Amino acid sequence: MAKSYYGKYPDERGKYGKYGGRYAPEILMPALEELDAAFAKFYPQQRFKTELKQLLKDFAGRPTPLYFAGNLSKRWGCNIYLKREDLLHGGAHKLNNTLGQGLLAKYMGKTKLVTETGAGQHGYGTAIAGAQLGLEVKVFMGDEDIKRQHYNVYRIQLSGAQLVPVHSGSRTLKDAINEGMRYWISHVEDTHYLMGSVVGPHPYPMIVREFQRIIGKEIKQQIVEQAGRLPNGIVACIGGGSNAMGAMYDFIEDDVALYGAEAAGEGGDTGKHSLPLTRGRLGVLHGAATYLLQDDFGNIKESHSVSAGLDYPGVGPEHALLKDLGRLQVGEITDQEALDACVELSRVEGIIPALESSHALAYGKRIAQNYHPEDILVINVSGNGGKDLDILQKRLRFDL
Amino acid sequence: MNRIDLSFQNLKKRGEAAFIPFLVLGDPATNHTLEIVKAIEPYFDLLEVGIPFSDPLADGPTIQEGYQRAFASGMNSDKAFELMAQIRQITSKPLIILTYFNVILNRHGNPATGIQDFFNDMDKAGVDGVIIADLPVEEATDVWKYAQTLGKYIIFLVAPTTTPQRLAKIHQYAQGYLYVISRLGVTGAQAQLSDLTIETIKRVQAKEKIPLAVGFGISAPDHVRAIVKAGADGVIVGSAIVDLIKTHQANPSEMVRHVEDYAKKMKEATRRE
Ligand SMILES: Cc1ncc(COP(=O)(O)O)c(C=O)c1O
Repeated sequence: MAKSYYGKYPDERGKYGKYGGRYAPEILMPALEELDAAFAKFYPQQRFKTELKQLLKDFAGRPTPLYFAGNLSKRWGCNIYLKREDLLHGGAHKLNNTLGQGLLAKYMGKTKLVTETGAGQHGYGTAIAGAQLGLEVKVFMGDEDIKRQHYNVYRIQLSGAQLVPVHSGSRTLKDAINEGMRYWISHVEDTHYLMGSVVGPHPYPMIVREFQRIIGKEIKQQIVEQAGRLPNGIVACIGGGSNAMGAMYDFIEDDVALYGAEAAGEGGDTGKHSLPLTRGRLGVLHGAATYLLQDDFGNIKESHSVSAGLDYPGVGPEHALLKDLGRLQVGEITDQEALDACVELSRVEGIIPALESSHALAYGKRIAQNYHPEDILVINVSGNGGKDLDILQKRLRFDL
Repeated sequence: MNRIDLSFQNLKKRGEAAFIPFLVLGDPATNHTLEIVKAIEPYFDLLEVGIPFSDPLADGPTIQEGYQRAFASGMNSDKAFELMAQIRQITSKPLIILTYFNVILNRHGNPATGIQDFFNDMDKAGVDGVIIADLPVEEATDVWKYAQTLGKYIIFLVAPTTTPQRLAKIHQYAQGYLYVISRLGVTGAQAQLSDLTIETIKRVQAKEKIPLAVGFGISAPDHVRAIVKAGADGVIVGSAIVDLIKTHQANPSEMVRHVEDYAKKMKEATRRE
């Protein structure tokens, strides 16, 4: 438990302890200051709150259910509740943030949104927000991710957004962020950069956290209604960390264990993984100080994961702090464990989870061994597996 | 006295602006960097050299590719400091590093000692200053402290978007010269100067006495003359040179000759009529 945590982070410099901050080129600094001021001004306004609440309810489908997974609970030996962000419009938790930031951009008088995407879920979420709010959208996406998440590429384009392929570096999420930021540098006056996770320079990690907190607020209310008490633990996957931060933030000062699953790819010792929290080192990337996968010269290493949304060599600065404080426990989940969990949930509960969320499920299964039958674990199912059918088909074939 | 101050003082006496070329260390190979420096030494007043970083988000395609060629030739911060020490044997003019903060913070793979080690290495190699593309003044206090103890300068950037309040903050820490970004965008050569360039020079200049060197997109002698006329004290030319290196990399002697001719032409344009 971390008592007296709230209200301290980020500090006035955008820091979470030694993490976070605003390591951005000078050209962007005024825009970041403007965004900070706009968020402070509009976010507390009743008009903004009402408008966002309405959108989240009527358009996006909030609240999402908290579902008692009876079949899984029997198999795993404790009470498992699933937070069904996979049922949110767009198929993942991303819309909480894209509608929030999209609305903020509109209040700021911006006419265009630019963003990056890995799994394509955030790109699609931004395209949806753009269509809904009447803002032009440009989405940068790595070639490698375009190949493995092509359904989402099509969804993005169908929703009227422009998709820009990125050929540099590892051609995944990290490079899409670089390219998106470069675009923003050149178009900073009429364009809002809609960051997809709790990463990037201050105020992004804070803004995205605030828009995703709805997940944890609902969990808190729903679990008390359904089970009469708080859970013993909450489990979520960590890419940049937005669904995890959203689900966990409102429990930081409670007696609830927090478990984050990072993607171990082919294995923690193979070097082919996305494990900045457990295997990385303090560094600065994309505007923030955090744990990073990097070499001895400060160059960022390529990450690996079967799941595009977790395939990132960095992590949100507040997760770095929570890990150092001992408040967040981090598990390494391999590609294979995630795929197995995906199959298990599909067969046992009839829910096909995203490969990102499958990491949380696999970690939940591992942790459940340490709990008693009356204990409660909440697992955040951050998204739906529809986007991953290609990858699943390649790994897992059924006879006709 | 820091070589940078001395250089701008002498230029002022001669009625010239500074020609400041930028080279990526090890692009396309370390021996080529050395040959180019030797060839252009008579023409530059200060020299900026880039230590490549894997994720250069303030750079356009030209310099990104330069970094890629340097990585392919095995460049890293260890080799970069060896190369800078060799460059110091060739020239007594100011030498300034351009890089990204993580290369400094994680010098020797250790963020606890990286900044200090980096400045010690700068001192040993005879480097006078450093430009850190992703380190705004708010985050620069630690770095600035180490720089001060060794008499090294942090060169800060000013953009067309920089507000008067930010400009005042930057002036508190600025030493050597201010790197004035000529337009909204990443690095990259362009055919025409942006209107913003002259406007920005005037706006920054009105405030302070520190020399102003203008960079981003400057590729032709005409640009140099317009910028000097507007009152700038120097021009920084990066992508146009990296482009020449790329075009002629298959023939190293041609490559060196082209860069040399270009440097000569650009230097001439810095002399006030
Ligand atoms: C379904 C789903 N879950 C999780 C993530 C990872 O992002 P974050 O860690 O920010 O929640 C993604 C990213 O694309 C995603 O699509």
